[in-house]
Amino acid sequence: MTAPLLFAEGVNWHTVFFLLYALVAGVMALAVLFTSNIVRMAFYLTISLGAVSGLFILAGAHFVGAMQLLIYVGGTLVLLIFGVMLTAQAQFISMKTRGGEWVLAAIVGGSLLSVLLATALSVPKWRGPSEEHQAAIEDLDVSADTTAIGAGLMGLRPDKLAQEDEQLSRGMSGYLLHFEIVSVHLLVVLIGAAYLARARHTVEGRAAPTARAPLARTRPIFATLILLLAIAAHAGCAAICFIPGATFKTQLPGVALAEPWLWPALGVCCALDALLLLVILNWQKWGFYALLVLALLEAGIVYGAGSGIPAALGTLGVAIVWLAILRGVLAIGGERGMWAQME
Amino acid sequence: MAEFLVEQWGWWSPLAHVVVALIKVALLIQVPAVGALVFIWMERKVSGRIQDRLGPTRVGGAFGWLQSLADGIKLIAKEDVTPGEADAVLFRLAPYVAFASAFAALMAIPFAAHFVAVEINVAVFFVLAVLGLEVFGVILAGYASGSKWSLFGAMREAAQVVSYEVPLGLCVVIPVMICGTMNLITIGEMQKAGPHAWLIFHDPFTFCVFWVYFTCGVASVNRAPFDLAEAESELVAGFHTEYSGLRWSFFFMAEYGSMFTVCLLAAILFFGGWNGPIPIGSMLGLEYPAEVTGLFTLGFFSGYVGDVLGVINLLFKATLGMVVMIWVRWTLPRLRIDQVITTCLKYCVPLAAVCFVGVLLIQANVLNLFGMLSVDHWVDTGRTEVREGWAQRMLDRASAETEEQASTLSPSGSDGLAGTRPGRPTRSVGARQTDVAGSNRDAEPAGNSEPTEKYVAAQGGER
Repeated sequence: MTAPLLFAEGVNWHTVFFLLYALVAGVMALAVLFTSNIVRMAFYLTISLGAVSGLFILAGAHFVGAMQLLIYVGGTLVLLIFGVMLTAQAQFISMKTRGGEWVLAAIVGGSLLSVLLATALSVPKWRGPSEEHQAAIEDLDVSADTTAIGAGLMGLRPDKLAQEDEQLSRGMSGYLLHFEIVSVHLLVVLIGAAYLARARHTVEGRAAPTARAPLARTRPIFATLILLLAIAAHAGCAAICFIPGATFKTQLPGVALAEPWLWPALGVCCALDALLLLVILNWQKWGFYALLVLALLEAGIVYGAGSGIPAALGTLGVAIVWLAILRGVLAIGGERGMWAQME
Repeated sequence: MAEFLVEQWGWWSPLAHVVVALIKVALLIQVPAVGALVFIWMERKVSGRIQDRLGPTRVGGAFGWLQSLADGIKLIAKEDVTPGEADAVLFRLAPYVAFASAFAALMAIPFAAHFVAVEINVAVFFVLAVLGLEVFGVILAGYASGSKWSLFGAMREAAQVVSYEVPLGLCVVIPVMICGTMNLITIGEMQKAGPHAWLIFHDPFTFCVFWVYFTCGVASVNRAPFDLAEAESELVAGFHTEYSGLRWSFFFMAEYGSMFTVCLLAAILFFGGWNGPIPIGSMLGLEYPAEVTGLFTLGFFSGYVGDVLGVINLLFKATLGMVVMIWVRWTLPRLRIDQVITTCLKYCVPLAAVCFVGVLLIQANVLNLFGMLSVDHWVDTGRTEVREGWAQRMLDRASAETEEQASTLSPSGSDGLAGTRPGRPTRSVGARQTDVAGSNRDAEPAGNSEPTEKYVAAQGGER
C-alpha cells in the first residue's frame, strides 16, 4: 500500500505533526541561511533545532528529544549568544557573505546532502511505509521509548541478550566503557577550559612564592622520639596483622565473628598510619588530617567486618585518644613548636 | 482518553484526538495563567504583612482577591511600545519564547498518578531541559530591547542560570538514583506509603540536598535574593525595562510558571508528590484497580476521585513552596553577582556532590549507619513494589512465558525440567531483571519460576 499515509485512516496525526515539525525545521534552517543579522540567525537556529527535537519526541524517543533540547538548544545556543554578545561589534553583528563563499558552501553542503540522500534511499525499507514493515514493527513488540538506549549506556544490550554463545555474548555487554571514556574526556575538557580561563595576572602585594628561602626548622627532641616510636609501633602492628597464625588475634572480643579479610585490611591501615606519621615527620600538616580520616576508616572496617558496634567504637575511641596525644606532642614548644612550623 | 472517546462514544478518531489535546492544553494553561493571578495576589499580601502593611484590601471584597485581575485588565489596556532602537521581530517574539518554555515544562509533570498531559519516561530530564530554555527568551529580550540596562540584566541572568543548572542537575540526580527511574510518576508512586517513604526523609543526605535543590531552584528561576537580572536599584528593571502591557505580563507569567514548576518538581521528588501524609485515598479504596474493596465502591470513578485528591495534595505542597519563596524574597537582601556565583560554585556544587556520593554509598549499602540505613529498612516503605511500566511489562511477559512452558512441559513428565528449557528467554529475563531492578532489590516476579530463582540468586550475589 503506497497511498499517502496522511489520509490512511481519516487523518493521521503523526504524519501531520511530522510534516509540521519538518517544515518548521527546514524553513528555519533556510532562514538561518538568508539572514545577515547574527543574533537572528541564532534565534532561527534555536527554532530549527527545537523542531528537530519535536521530531524525536514524535518518534517516541523522548530521551533523545530532551537531550537535543538540553545540549543543542540550551547549551550550545546560550554559549553562542554569549559569544555573539561579547563580540558584538558592528562588523560582526551583520554578516555579509561574498559570492565565492556561497559557491564554496554550496559545494560542501551539496556533497554532504548527496551522500545523505544516497544513503537514505539505498535501503528499500526506508523508501516508504509498507504493510509488512508495519507488521514487522508490531511483531517486534518494542515499546515506544528509549529504554534500550539507556540500558545500553549502562552496560546492557537487551537486543543482544539472545546471543547464546558465552564467548560472543561478552562483546554484547553494552556501551558502559565507551560512555565512561566520553565522560572522562568531557571532564578533562572542562578542567582544561577552567585552566585556560583562570586569571593570569598576579595580585599586587602578594609576593611570588618561589622567592622565599626555606626556613631552618627546629624540632623538640621529645616530639621526634614519639613520632619515631609511633612509626615503629605501627609498622610492627602491620607486620603482626599479616602473620597468619598469631594466636592473640582470636582472643580479642568479637573477632571470632569477623570476616577473614579483617586482618589484612587492618594491616594495610597500620602501614598507611606509619607512612602518614613519616609525612608528619616531614613537616606536612595534611598527614595529621589524613590520620584522622584513616581512624574513621579503621572503625568502619572493624564494624564492616562484623565485629560489632562496641569493637568499632573502641577502635575509634583509642584512635581519637592517641591522635589527641599526638596533637599535644606536636604542639610542644608553642611558637617554636612543630605544629606552628608545619606547612 | 482519546481511545475512550473513540471506542465508547464512537467519536471520529481525529476529532477525538484534537478535543483531548485541547482539553489538556486548556487545563495546563491554567497553571501559569490563573496561577500567576493567585500568586501575584499572594505575593502582595505576604509582602504587605512582612512589611507591616495590609496589602491589597478593596478589589473584589474582603482580601482584595481580585486585585491581580484588575491589574491584568489594566495591563491589557496599556499601549504596546516598541523602542526605536529595538530589533522589532526579536523584541516581539521574546516574551512568547520565555512563556512557551515555562508552559511546556508543565506538559511532562504529573499532577497525580494518572493525571499527566504527556507521559514521558524521562520526565525529570525533559522538565529540566525545557526549564533551562526560559533564559533564552530573557537573553533575546535583553538583546533586542536595544537598551544597556536590558542587556546587562540579560547577561547577568544568563551567567546565573547557566551556573545554577549544574548543582540543580546534581540535586535532581539523587532522587533519580534512589528510585532508579527518571519517570516522575514512578518516583511519586514509590513514596506512596506515607511520610516515612518520602525521599526527603530517606537519609540525612537527601534531607540536606533538598535545601540545596530549593536554593538552586530559587536561583534558577531568578527570584530574590538572586534576582540580579531585574535588580531595580541598579538596572531599572533589568531585561524587561523596555516592555510594557501584555508583553510584560508574559514575562511575569513565565516567571511565576517556572517558579511553580520548580516547586512541583520539589514536591514530587522529595515530598511524596500527590501522596498525602496519610494515605486516605488508598484507605478509602479510591484507586484504579477494578476490584475495589474500600468503603466506597464507586467503581470506575473512584480512581478519578482519588486522583483529584492527589492533585489537591500536590498543588497544596507546591503552594507551600511558593509561600517559602515569597517569604525568602521579602526577608533577605539581594546578593551581589560575585556572591551569587560564589554561592553556586563554592557551596551548592560541593554540597550537592558530597550528598550525591553519600547517597551513592547508602544505595550500595556501604554506609548504613549501624543498620539504620540498611536496605532492609526500605522494605516497609513499599518502594520495592512499584515498578516502572516497561519493567512491569517485562515481568508480566516473563511470567507468562514460564507459565506457558510449564503447561507445555507438565504432561510430558518431570524428566530434566531444567535441561529441556530453552536457554534464551530464561537468560534474557534473568539478566534483564538484575540490571533493570536497580532499586527494586526485593522485587520478585509472580510465580516460582526459574527466572525468579536465577534473579534472586543474582541479587544475593550482589549483596
